[in-house]
Amino acid sequence: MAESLLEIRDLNKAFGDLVVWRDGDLSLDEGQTHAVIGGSGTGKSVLLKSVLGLLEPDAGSIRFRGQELVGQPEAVRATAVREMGMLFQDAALFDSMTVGENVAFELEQLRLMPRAEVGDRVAEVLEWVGLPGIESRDPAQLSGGMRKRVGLARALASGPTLMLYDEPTTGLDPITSDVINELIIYLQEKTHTAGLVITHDMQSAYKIADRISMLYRGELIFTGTPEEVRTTDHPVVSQFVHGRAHGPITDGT
Amino acid sequence: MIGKLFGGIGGLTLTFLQKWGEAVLLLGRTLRLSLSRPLYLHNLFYQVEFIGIHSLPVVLLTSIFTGMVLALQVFSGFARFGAESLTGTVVGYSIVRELGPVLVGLMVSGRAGAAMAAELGTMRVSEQIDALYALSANPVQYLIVPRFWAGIIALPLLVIIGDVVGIYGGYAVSVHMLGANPVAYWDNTFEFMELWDVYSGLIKAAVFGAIISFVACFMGYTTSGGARGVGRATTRAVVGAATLILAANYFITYLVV
Repeated sequence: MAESLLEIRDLNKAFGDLVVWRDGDLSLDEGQTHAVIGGSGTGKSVLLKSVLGLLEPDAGSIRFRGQELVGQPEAVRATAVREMGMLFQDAALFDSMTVGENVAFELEQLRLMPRAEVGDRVAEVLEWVGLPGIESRDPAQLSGGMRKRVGLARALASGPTLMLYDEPTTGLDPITSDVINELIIYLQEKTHTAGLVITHDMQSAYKIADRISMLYRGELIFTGTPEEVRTTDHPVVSQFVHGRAHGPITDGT
Repeated sequence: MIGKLFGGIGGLTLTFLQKWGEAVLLLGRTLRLSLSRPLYLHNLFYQVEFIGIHSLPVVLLTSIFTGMVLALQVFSGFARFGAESLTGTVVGYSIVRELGPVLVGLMVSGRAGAAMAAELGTMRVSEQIDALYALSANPVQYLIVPRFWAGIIALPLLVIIGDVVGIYGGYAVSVHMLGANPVAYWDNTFEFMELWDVYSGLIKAAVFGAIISFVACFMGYTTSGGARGVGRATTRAVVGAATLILAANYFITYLVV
């Protein structure tokens, strides 16, 4: 069997006494999208930060294209980071730069193409996210949804093979959320990028993910297709995905 | 009760040592990355402009008033034993060796250091520093290295200007207000001044520049806890830099005198 694009084994991470990941296993094939759902403050974003290398797990293995990333020197991680793109929760656009400079950042940073072509590429990815011609705008002038879309364009500009999405629809109205969902699906079909999504928005997870896992008390307690998640009788998962106030999560059983 | 007290002291000590350890590691990375590509020269030039040119008004004002008040004090004090003629010497010596670098350092830490810490702190809490990393730029190399060297370059330049203006301020008060002889005043100012006096002031300025930019970058870079965290980082950057400047000033003076 061919190796997965991303293979996470026995991921462990704790902050002091708080264990946020215990023996987490997750694998992702090229072109697939995997969503990790869970309540706020359960440490979902630790997963993305560990894959990217912003956080070092306490134990476990993260392999990207067969290359181990945990405990490796910066150069090895940098090579992997080049192939990854990340959409941050609040887009994290550089407010000292224009939209165009934001989107061009990684292209210029890595000198991926001649200067003259950078502008064309920036225009192209901004077109993909439905915001053509806003290169000279200041990120502060944009709405939340537009910032997310620019963040998406920036992450995609260098052609990553793995996209990491940190709560892509949080803080957006339902219509804008759906626009972002459609955009993620459209871009994934167009660029064949794999996606690792963390979210607590079930509509979004059902729509964009091929597989969904639920993180609960540091463990991935359930993994399945959106349909399996929707119909499961697992009490914790069922309470979460149907958004019920009473159940094992809130009653502490 | 006593156990709690010792526990508290121990905890504080650990936090303190951990902060210093982090700072030393970050300084090591900054120095190591200073020698490797890419160099981000446009960031360096921008920061020299930000620290240097934009601090000029406040440096000019501080320096001229310091020179003026110094002349006033020294003149009236020295008149008590008939040594007014030494006013120029004392004013020049103290400005070039001591007051120029220290006051410029303190003013710049309040102006540029605070702004730098707030900027990096905001970038940290809005995940822009993580975004730099995700977009294949090393945040230390992109943000801290240019600011660190810009501080080292800009402070001596500001101090040279501050020295000139301060000495002129002293001259203006002595000659135009207190009736000193202009030719004798200049003679006395420069007769006993050695080039080493100027150099020692500039060495201090470069060290203070490194302190200001590094403390600001460290506080900003390690910010946590939203808007309140940014405020805390800014305060710590100014207080930390000012304290370190005064301490470093003593030790440099001790070494070079």
